[in-house]
Amino acid sequence: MAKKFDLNDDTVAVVIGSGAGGGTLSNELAQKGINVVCLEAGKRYTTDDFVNDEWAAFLQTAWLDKRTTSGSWRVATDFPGLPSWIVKSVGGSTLHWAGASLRFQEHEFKVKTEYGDIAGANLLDWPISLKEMEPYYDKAEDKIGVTRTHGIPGLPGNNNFKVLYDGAQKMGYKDCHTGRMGINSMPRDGRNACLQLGFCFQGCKSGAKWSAGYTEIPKAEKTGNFELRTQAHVIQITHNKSGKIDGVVYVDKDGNQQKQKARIVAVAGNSIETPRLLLMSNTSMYPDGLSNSAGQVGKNYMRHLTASVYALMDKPVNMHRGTTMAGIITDESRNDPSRGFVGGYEMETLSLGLPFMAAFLVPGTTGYGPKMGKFLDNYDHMAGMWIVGEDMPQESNRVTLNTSEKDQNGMPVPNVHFDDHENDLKMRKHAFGKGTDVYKAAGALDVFETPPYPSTHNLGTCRMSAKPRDGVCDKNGKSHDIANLFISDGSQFTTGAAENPTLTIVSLAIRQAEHIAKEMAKGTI
Amino acid sequence: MKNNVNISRRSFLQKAGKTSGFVVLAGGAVQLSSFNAWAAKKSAIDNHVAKTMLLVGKDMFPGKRFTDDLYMIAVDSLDGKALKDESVKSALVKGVAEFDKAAGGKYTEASIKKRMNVLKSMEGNNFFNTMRGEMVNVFFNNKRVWDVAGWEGAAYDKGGYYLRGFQDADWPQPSEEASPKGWWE
Repeated sequence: MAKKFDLNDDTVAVVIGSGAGGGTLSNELAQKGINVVCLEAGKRYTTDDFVNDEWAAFLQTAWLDKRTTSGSWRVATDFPGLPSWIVKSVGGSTLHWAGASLRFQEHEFKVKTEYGDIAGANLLDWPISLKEMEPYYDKAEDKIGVTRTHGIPGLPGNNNFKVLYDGAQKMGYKDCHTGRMGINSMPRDGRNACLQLGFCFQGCKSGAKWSAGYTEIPKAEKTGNFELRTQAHVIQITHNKSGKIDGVVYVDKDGNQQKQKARIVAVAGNSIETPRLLLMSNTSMYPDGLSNSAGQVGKNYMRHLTASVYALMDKPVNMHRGTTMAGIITDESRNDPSRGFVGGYEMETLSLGLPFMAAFLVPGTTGYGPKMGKFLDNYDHMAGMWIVGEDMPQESNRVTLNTSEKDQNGMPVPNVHFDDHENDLKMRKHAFGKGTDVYKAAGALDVFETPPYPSTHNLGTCRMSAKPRDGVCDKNGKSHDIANLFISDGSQFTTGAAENPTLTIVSLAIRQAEHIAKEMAKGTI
Repeated sequence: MKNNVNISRRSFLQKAGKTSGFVVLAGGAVQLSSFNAWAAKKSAIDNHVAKTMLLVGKDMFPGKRFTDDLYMIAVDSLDGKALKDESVKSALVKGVAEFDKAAGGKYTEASIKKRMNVLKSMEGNNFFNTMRGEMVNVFFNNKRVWDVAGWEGAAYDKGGYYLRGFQDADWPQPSEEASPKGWWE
């Protein structure tokens, strides 16, 4: 069943990464009879390996390779070596995701047209429309088992949701419910129903949450067309004399370099590693890195607005019981420039356990004092929400190679530079205000406006564009420069929208697999 | 209590034992009984350093439900590191001296207002970061602290919360459309 391919087999599709993008693409290709070698930098963990312990799970699964930061964003001060909170494991960050599975809104695929020129923002319309995406959203929702789609009931709301819902009703919000979630409300697709464990971020031990590591990957393995290599960290994508991709070089679990030949290569290493790998693969033919003739690789890094509001309520809440992201208010996700900014944001319940709450409620050296002590002392009285909003793409927000720092393989580490755009700051201020109002309406005694965590939604560093000069890849994720090189993760996002990105990443991967299979059959790649 | 500061731990304990085990220092905040468990063990740091550390941790994250015994978790943890590493010990001693100096005497004897000013002025200082780090990473990662604050820790081994109060908060039950019944109902 578990297939082995030869390193010199140049007929295989090599997929780099096994998360929402790479895991899905691998399975979709394998289902179509295409031979796939998936190279995953992390280890393989099963649901039995996951631990209900915040720090232990973080050390087990987080991507902790050396990285640097710059820019005025607060993450660079509070977490200078940890710009993102993503996963190094089979399944990638679908191990960590909370499960929110929202389609983008129609206008969010054409923000340049809708929002107009925003100074300092590098806005661009997607080369795809919502209408073109709809059939793939539908397939992705079926694959993931998204609640409130395909006849799947919504999840029951927990304590944190009850508080949010009460505040939302009193605020007059119209659209507040337990969300569209990639978490089984009923047993489905061989996986359990949710037990309301509350450790969604640490790897779902019940398997109720969709995660590519135990859905897509085993399904791909069953086809006999697929090989997963774990602890296989790709450090270079190689090309032949004509400039076509011919393979990859990776460091295996023993620290030895291996070269795998390939017919095509699809990169899905999340939006920091993907541009880094393209930049690290520079040669005399491609001196600025692969697919970088327009100079766009690594630029327009987006991380969603993000912010949190944590409230101290007048009665016990026990928000930690049950799903981490238990419900949503979508009323503020519309584009309504009368609010003083373009784009919108979602409000989604979020809880952290006490260890992470102590680390993130007020991060950095100012994170102490009587108010913080009071909140943590009364952890059981806390309620919380996360704010996910559209941030503006800016050319200067970018992933570059920091050649003065080397990782464990001797490769230059990625530097992540980020400054908030004025629109981001205005939106965050608005969202803090509305989030506070929700909790005050529900009886809050006090609130904290919590700044962004290290980024979980890393987007846009190899964006798709209609014109080659505006981006890195086309509407199928195919490199504008190299016909057999594909971008297959959130790096493709032209803009970020207000919605959590996983559903769109999975939808794009399903769509891309169709495209690749078609082109392979035609012999064009 | 001022003259207790430089005496040996043994006599310190003896004196502490003569009280009701609950003594408020001039600074107003440290219970001597908290030292018993700590003082009975091999220690790298003296009473003054330990007491100051306890109070700094407490001033950083004051909570009505957190007793001094709990704050000693952070002191104990750093003391253990100091026992193994002389540089940790000297950094703690140096840090406490800096805090005392900033307090214009002894940190443990300064008013709460003064102490908060000292903390503010020390943000980013080595000892400040050490204490804050130990509180965040050790104190708040301790099950005894979780129990007091009301975080219940691991849930899978208890079958999750679907039958254990995940909807028991005293707020109105949302509409069934917004929050459908669970699969077990």
